[in-house]
Amino acid sequence: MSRKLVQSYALCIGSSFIGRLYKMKAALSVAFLFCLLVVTQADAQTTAYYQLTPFPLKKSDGSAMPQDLEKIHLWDGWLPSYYYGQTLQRDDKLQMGGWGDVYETYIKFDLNGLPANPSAVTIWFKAYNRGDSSTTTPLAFCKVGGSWNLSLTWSARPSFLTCAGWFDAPIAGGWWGVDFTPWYAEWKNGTVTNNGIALSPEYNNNNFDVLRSSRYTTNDGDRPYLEFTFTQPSGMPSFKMPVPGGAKWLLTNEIGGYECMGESPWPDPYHQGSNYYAIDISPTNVKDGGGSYTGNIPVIAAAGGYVKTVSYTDANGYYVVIDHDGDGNLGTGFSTRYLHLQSNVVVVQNSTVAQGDLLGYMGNTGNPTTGTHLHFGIRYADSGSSSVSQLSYVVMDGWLMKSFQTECAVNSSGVPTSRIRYYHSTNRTY
Amino acid sequence: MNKKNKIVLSLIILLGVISLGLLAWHGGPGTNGVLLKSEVPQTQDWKTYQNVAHGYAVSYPEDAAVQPVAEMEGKPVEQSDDIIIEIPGVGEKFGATIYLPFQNAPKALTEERNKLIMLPLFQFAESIRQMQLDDTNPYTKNKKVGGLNEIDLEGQKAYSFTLTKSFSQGLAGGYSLGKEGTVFNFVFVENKSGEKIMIHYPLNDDVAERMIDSFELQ
Repeated sequence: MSRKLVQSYALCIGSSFIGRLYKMKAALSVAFLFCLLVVTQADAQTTAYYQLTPFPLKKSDGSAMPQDLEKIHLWDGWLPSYYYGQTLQRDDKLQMGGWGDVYETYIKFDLNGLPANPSAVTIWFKAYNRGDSSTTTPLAFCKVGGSWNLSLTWSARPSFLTCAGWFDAPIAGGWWGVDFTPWYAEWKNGTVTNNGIALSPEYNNNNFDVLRSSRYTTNDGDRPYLEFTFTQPSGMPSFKMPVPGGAKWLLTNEIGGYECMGESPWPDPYHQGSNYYAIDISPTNVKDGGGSYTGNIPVIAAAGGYVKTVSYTDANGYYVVIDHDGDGNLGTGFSTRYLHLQSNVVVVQNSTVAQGDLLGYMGNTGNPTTGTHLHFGIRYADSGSSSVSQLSYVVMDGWLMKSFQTECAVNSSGVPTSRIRYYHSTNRTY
Repeated sequence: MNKKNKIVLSLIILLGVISLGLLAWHGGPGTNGVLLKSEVPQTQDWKTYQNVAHGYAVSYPEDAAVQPVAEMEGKPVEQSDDIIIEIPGVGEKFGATIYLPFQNAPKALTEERNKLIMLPLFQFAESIRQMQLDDTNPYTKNKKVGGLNEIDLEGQKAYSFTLTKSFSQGLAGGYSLGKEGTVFNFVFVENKSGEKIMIHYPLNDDVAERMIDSFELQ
């Protein structure tokens, strides 16, 4: 329990005691309960997750994919001091240790669109058994002090600003995590440049720790992820994906518009600016028990609210806007937008919907016509810009919005061939 | 009824009469709409939005944001067919829609739109007002639609009516005007190219009224 919460509860108890002195028991008991409710609500903490997806080195037309951090989510890899050309290795693992030589791991990720002021941030890694005679080593968790990129070499590696540790060695099969909240806060507020983190071994006498990297494909749930704990912005609904539950849905464009195929225009301008917090969901889906939703795919309310707009424009096609604070004014609170629906929209403006209510069906209306899909956007005070701090806290089906990123399969030449990343909806089933 | 209750009742009746009088004086729902002109001079640090594609300009407060109504429009906001100006945390202050032919719409919508924009301005405005009267939305039963008025907008003949609850676009759907009985004024005017512009803004709102005062056809 936080100090602030303890202090607030004390205030409630104090108010109640004063009430008893003045023989207004009933009224003050109600006030006490209300006070507790308000305090509890005000300090409610939410935990949400962000798993960073890897990015290809080429676009689908074979040209080079820019590898700027803000476009490709993260850089992660392991750096050997002697073998492998002493260059950063980007495969399906992260390793630390050595056998006379030294392996270190470097990770850096994009901060755009992530929570502005979380109360806790932890990075988690899944450890596994290296399958040889080596033993594990404790690790130092370090804040990198200089810039680096994907051409990182051992001789030019940056120094560490500070390190924490030694932490116990990761145990194969378990998750290993470090709370690095103060460093994250410094990066977010700009007092320290974000040069990422490094994992450095204590021993290197046939000692190795191995962790799954962001490129591990056998089970993408074992990739590194960030866990955020924060106080929700006032009035933030608990969002669920706007497509039927009990199924996972293919994502074809992402927050910021840097989708993994690199198709033109890239980034997609309809996922930038005031529409940064917008994703495209394909009708392609897989139900939990096998099979899939086919035919007319229901588009359903991500959260309850007031239907502000049901309209047609040449640009958006048939679209619906839900105002989640229910005042009919998009200039306040959260709102969600559902574009390109079929003409048979089910809801009408000025009605009220609950989470999971049917709005219409996934379609291909409006411009640009890029095949049947749902363009889904979230806004606060009618802005979906990356600079709107309230939106950095939006959680949908347990994931931060920033986590809804595309991923591509690549061929032997490294050219992306198809999008492969699905996200699971827990919204109402249809 | 004792004397005290009589006094309270009299006060309530008196307040009711005063409220009704004030409502009528300000041109409330169901009355003839008027384009209000504010006596307050425009604040010097306001910005100006200039729509170069459709020939109009309007000033707005620094903390307000101009954006296209339809995010898929794919052109600079200075060329947008349909914009909204809002103050974040406060709400909508001004909207301007250019009525253009639909390019991608189903046949029925395209025909309805084409028929509408071919009408002379008075009939165009009256047809849109009639859409409000014909609105069968069960959630806007108490919608108030004012009469159509001819007004002068910067030396140009224009028409206006007041509206509450929601705006109907006929077959193309519509949008809510908010729940709390805010009265909006809808103004119809032609730009110098003969395109029909529909402006809407909340009545009895100082900022909105100053914005409409600053509106210019260019």
